[in-house]
Amino acid sequence: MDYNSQSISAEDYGRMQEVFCNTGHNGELGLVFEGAGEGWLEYRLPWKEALVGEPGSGKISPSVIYSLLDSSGALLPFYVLGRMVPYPTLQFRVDHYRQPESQRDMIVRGVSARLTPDISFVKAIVHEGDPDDPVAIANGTYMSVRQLKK
Amino acid sequence: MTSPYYQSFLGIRTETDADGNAYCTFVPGATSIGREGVMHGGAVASLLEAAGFACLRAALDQREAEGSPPLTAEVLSTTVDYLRPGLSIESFAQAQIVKMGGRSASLLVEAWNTDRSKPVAAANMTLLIRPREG
Repeated sequence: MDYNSQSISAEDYGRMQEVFCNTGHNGELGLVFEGAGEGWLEYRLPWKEALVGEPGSGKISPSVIYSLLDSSGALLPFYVLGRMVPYPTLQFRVDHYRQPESQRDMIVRGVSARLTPDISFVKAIVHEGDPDDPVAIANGTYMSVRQLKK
Repeated sequence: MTSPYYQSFLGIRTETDADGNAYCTFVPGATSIGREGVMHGGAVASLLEAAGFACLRAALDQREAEGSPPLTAEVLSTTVDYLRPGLSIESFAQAQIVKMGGRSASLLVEAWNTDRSKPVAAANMTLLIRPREG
């Protein structure tokens, strides 16, 4: 099987997001795919008690916010390249701008900042409805599992 | 502190080693999987952050024992380097304080599967220390 030739159909994207959001860690969090555009993917995380950091605060844990941001970048190369090319996370940095509000859904958008055969650079943001008032921002570096052929 | 509830929901536990230092153990279930047999990068980060919080909490407790008013901390930033695949088996993490000042702390945290000298991930955490309200 030629690793570089697995092109993705429109239906594949839907199925891929379905699996991505509903299995493993993302399924546990309750990630919901919201939409995709030119070089970006957006997800929503509905609030639930189990995701809260400090008991009784209603505020989603910073570790959950980290996971959201990391996940928002994971599938970007698939969309940008149109091919099934896994890029696991190599390094990821999250800056927490402020505490989340109590009992609020989180919206995350991952943007492909630069994509090469080796590396996917991602900028991501979490907000509660107003992108100009972010809860956290992230810069991620992902590396392809092997170097791609041009 | 702002993390323990979610971490305990994941199944991360905090223990104390023979030297009295806090560390975390984690037996990842299906809910922490990223891809087959490997933990999600976010689950690894949750383990690292739990160890970071546990380590700093112990230091804040010490400061309170020495007469400080009640203190809490919130994470300002976390940077994780993913060094090896984090296998979905029992895993560990422990933090060390690089510097704790009056208002901030810088921590180094490592997570490993079976061999501490082969960490699966390493993190730098920067936290804000402030008086606990209420």
